[in-house]
Amino acid sequence: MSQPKRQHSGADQRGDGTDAARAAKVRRSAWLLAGLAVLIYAAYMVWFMLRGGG
Amino acid sequence: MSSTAIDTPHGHHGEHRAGFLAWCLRWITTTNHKEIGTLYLVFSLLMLFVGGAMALVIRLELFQPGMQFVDPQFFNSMTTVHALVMVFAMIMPAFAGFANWMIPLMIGAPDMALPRLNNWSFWLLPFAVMLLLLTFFMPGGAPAAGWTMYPPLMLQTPDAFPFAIFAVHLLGISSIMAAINIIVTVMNLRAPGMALLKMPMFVWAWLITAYLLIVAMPVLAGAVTMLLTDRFFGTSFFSAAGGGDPVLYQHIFWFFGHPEVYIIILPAFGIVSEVIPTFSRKPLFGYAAMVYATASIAFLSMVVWAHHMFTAGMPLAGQLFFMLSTMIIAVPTGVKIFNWTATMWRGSLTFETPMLYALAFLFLFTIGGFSGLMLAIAPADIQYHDTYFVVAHFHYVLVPGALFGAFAGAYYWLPKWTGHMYDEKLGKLHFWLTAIFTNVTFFPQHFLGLAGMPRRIPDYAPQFADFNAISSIGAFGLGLSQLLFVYIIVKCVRGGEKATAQVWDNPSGLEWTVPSPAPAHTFDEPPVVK
Repeated sequence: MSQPKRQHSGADQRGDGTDAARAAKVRRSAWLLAGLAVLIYAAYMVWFMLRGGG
Repeated sequence: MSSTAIDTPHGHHGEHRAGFLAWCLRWITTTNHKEIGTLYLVFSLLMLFVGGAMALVIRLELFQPGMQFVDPQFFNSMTTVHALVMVFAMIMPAFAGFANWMIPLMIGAPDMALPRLNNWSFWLLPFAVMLLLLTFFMPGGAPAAGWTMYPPLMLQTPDAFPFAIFAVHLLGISSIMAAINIIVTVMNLRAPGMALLKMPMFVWAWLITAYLLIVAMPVLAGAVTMLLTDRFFGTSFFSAAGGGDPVLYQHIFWFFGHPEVYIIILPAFGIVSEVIPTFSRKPLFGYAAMVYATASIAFLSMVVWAHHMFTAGMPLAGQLFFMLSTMIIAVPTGVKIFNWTATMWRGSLTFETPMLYALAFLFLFTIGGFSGLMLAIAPADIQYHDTYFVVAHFHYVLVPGALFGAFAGAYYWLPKWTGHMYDEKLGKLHFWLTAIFTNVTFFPQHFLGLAGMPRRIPDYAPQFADFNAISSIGAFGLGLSQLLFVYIIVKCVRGGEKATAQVWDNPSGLEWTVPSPAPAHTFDEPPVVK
């Protein structure tokens, strides 16, 4: 069976030497934004729970 | 195709099935931004008819006073699910489709930064919508508490409750993932030389929208999670009996809900900012001011939420703050309206279908903006609140605003997507039918509201009959006119005059440097931006 072809993300398709650094930056930014979204989601509920509503 | 299958049934049936499966698998697993863009756009068009059919049930029942076709509970389910489908499954995915197709092409990127996340963002949508629509077949029916899902009414929803909440969660997750992808794509994959203040306005509009999504959608998710825990896990976030506060839910919901209005309208602003310069044959007037105005609108949208709650009770200082902050939004919005007008000033104007939609957007969205200013006046809002005036206001913002923006974008970029010019005569016919019937549907609702007709009711007093009948006739005309849009798209996909790479008369932007139809892979080598 042939080896599955590695899927490239949009960030490392160009092959101009800066791929790995750019892909890492993309992943870091994405996780940061996802973390921000989760933080806002959780912070609201925790805040209201601490206020005594929950 | 079918005749071949009949001639040699066994072998070809097998091949046929394998071919079909491969075709399905390709669309399910695609990570190509153009194909995912197409999926989003086709899905949103389908949802336009699903949500539209619900609107027609509402208008059918309201055609005459008295109860005609549906019971009140089902009517309320129709208003609730119509809104949820149109907002989360139609207009937001439509603009996500435009973003997927056009942002990489406009910034000279080979694809979105996270293609597999992109695929997942889309494929959550059909399942979320199925979950929502299947609630109609559950005991007790679909949710009927309005798209705002206010407790305690929403908590009384029978079996459908957790399914609707889960559907909203999935729709929110899909939007957040799409927003993350757009931000990291724009911030990391722009072609060399494309500084932030050289980006097309559509890209700017979406970048700002994506940040709004990241901040606003988790708030909605938090609100509906708290509803869920109140119902099933014994918490009392919104239950006065347990020390909670139902008005708290309204604050949280509208902290999401008002930015949501701008999440819907800002991409339409972006499209109009692309269309008007092309058909005026002039660059956009005041580009930097347009960028700052968009950012200002996004910021202000976060601090105006309680203007939806003037009648819920609030201190005078609160009323003044939310009234004035809401009115301040008219300033950056005015900057945009005047800049679009200045772009056209002494331009060499032509009126192809995208331009007609952009112009109608300009006139009619402004009507929605002005009625919004009327609603922002706290003492007057007490009269208008929960009447058809509010229904007329937000439909003027969402239909001639967001939907016309989407139509303008669809006609503008259709030749780039398909490689064929659409039928201009039919396009113009679609425009005039849509523009006329939109006004016939929604303008009389201003009068109904001012005369005191409440929203979300299946029956009404006889004095409201005439304007309701006109509005219902308009709604059916508007709905049927959209079948013409489908025909125009199908005709354009199947053939027609070949489109050149530029399509229009000297438009600006990297997307016009690639052939029409845009090949599957573009900008493998970054373009040079001067």
